[in-house]
Amino acid sequence: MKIRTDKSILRFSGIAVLLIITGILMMCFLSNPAYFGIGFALIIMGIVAIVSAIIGAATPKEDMIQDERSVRINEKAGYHAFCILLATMALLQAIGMVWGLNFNFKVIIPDLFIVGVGSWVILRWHYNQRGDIT
Amino acid sequence: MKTRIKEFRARYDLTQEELAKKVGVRRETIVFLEKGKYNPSLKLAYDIAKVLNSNIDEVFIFDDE
Repeated sequence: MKIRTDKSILRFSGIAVLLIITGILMMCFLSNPAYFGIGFALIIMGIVAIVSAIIGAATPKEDMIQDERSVRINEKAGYHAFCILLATMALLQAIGMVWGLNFNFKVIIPDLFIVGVGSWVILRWHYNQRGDIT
Repeated sequence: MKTRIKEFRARYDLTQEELAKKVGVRRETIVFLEKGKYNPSLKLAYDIAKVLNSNIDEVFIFDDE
């Protein structure tokens, strides 16, 4: 596995390290508990950024090219995932009306989010395998 | 749509990877083009034909259907 050391990767890693250092300094030297929470959040953000940078550096540059085919796949999958999301919401509303379940959409938003993102990922994979994107 | 990309590639001793790099797309796109499973944009078709020192209608064979 080849690790890339592009300028963008190094810049992103630098920002991630800076976030972690800022978080540690805030947790160590500021006595206010609110700053402790912010510092902790900064450290978590920094760790997530470092992991993302490592994944990005390990991915070959050719795989990152956004050519016209991948753009079309993303657009088509996004449109169809949105349609699925709307259909799911309509279906839930209809089921709720028929059986009097009274769905609280504020509560089921995370589930709808998973349906939307999940269908986008699956459709992207499907269109990528199929090939004939028009 | 059928293409003669594979034939032209062989003529100029180009790999799929090299052709993809020259026209700025992923290798998979060239694979799908060669299989006739993807219709390229006019620009991509033009770029491929240019790299292969040919015309679009020589590289890409359009069906009437």
